[in-house]
Parts: sequence; C-alpha cells; structure tokens
Amino acid sequence: MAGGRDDRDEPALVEAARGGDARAFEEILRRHESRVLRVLRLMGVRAQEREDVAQNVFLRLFRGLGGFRPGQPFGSWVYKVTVNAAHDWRAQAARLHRDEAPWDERGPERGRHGLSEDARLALAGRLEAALDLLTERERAAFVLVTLEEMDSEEAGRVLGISAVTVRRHAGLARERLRKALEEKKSPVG
Amino acid sequence: MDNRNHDILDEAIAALRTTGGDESLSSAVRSKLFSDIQSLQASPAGRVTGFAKGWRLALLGAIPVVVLTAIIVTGGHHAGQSEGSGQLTATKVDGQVVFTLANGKKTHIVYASTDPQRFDPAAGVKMTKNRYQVDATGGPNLVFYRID
Repeated sequence: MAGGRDDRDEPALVEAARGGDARAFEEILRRHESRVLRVLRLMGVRAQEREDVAQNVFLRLFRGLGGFRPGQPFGSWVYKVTVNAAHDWRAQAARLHRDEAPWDERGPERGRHGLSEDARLALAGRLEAALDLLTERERAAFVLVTLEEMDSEEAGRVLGISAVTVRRHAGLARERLRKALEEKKSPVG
Repeated sequence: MDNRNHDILDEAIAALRTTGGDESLSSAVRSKLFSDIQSLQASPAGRVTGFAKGWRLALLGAIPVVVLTAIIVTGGHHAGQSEGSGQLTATKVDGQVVFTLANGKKTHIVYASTDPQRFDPAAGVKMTKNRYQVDATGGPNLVFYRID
C-alpha cells in the first residue's frame, strides 16, 4: 500500500474509492487519520485503544462509501462516524472499566497561568481531563465547535441536532470546564 | 474574576489545540486495515456487507477466542456439543477462526464482546450457511463469542 501522494481532489478520491480503488481510499485515510485520531483523543478514547477505534472508523467509512451521496461534505461524514465510534467506545469502556479512574496517567497538575512549555502542557492536560466531566453531547459539541472550530450548523449536521442546540451544549460545556479549571486551581494557589 | 476564569479556559483551549501534534496510524494498524478492506472487497456480497458490522474492533487480535458454549479455541480444531446447540466446531488456521454450527436451525447470529456478560444485540452478525469466519491475527486480546 505504499506509494506517493495522490493529488486528486476529495470528491474524485471518494468516487474512486466507491468504485473499489484502494489507493484512493488510502489517500483519504492519509488526509483524515490525524483528525480522526485527534477527535478520538478529545472524545476520551484511551491512547492504547485509539488506533483500534480509528481503524474501526475507517472500516465504517469504507463500508459506508456505497451509501455516501456525492456532493455531501465528506469531512462532516468523517466527523460523524468518528464521534459515533467514540460514543460506542465510551459506552463499552464504561462497562469494562467502570472501576478505573479516568485519565489517572496524566501526571502532576502543575499548570497555572504560566507560559512555560511544561505549564502549558499541564494546562492542556487539565482541560482534556475536565472533558470527562461533560455529558457526551456537551463534549461532542465542545470538541467540534471549540476545538475543531467547526461552525454550529455543520456540527449540528454531524451530531444530528440543531445549531441552536449545539451552541447551547457548547456553552454549557464552556461553563463547566471553566468551573472545573478554576476549582482545580484554587487549592494550589 | 470572571474575566480571569475566561482567560484560563481560553488559554487551556489554545494549549490543547497545539498539543498532540499530527498523529497517524501505525504501519501495523494500517496494514491490518487494508487487509480487512481487501477481505471485504473479496467477500461474495461485495465490500459493503453486514458481515463485519460492529465487529472489527472486537475481533482485532482475537487470540485466544472463547466461545460461550464451553469451547475454547487456542489453535487447531475443536468441536463440542452443548445442550440443544447441536454440533459446533471452531477451527483456527492461518490466523482465521472459523465457526460452524449444525443444529438443524438455518439462522444463527454470532455476537462478540470482550465482556462475557455484555453482548451488544445490535452487533450480531448472521452466519452464512452456518459458517462464520474472521481474522484473528492481532495481539493477545480475549474475545468472547455467543452464538444464538
């Protein structure tokens, strides 16, 4: 499956992949794998299982190509399949690992307002850990709108809810995350 | 005060956006993915089938495989007969696990899970001609199967 990059635009690649062109699908994978893995991480999929879930995402995408309507935004569909796979994983993980504390491998929380790289990473880690406090819908809205910078209309299409509801969930998420970050900060400083 | 909190959140968001870098699938996973895709393409029903629905994740690295009808597959050929289940065989050859079940019924549904107490009804896969075959060439994960 090795080979150079394919310069075809995405609709052409999708169409080729629909026709069974594995190289076209490989290029689709190359263009989207980073995003898929990032969203899975932000949706709480554990590092050691993220690749397996991502593989499942791409298999779902491949199997769903036959039903994909040309002209639709392929990227949105990738997000949708990825978020759904993350939801499925979380549901399964909740059953299998209900006794495990989430994100306990993050290390010490040293983050403050500091500008050092360590502090910045710690702050990012605190926010990522705080995502676990959100409902699935809040988390998905926050990840898509705030972290992936998707507009609420598109996020609504991905999540199957209205743009207004997306904004409401994203707003609630921000409030809860802000509170969590502030609460964690207080005892230290 | 609120402004300061807001700054904390925005700073954290900015930090989170820049962490992690561009991740990519490992070559092993990539190879496995395309192997699965080729298998799908080669399947009689074409690449978009219900055969693998909800399965690939659970089946990755299905070694050993445990069948709830008390047959444990760790390689080679196994056969068993449980109450009312007829003849069930499970064979593992060249990284493929093949289940066959002959109990007079025409329709069987196979479920897989890493939790023997939890099988997702939506992830059931219908056996074709009383036969179910799947890759099992990954790591040492334990996967439980239920065949109805």
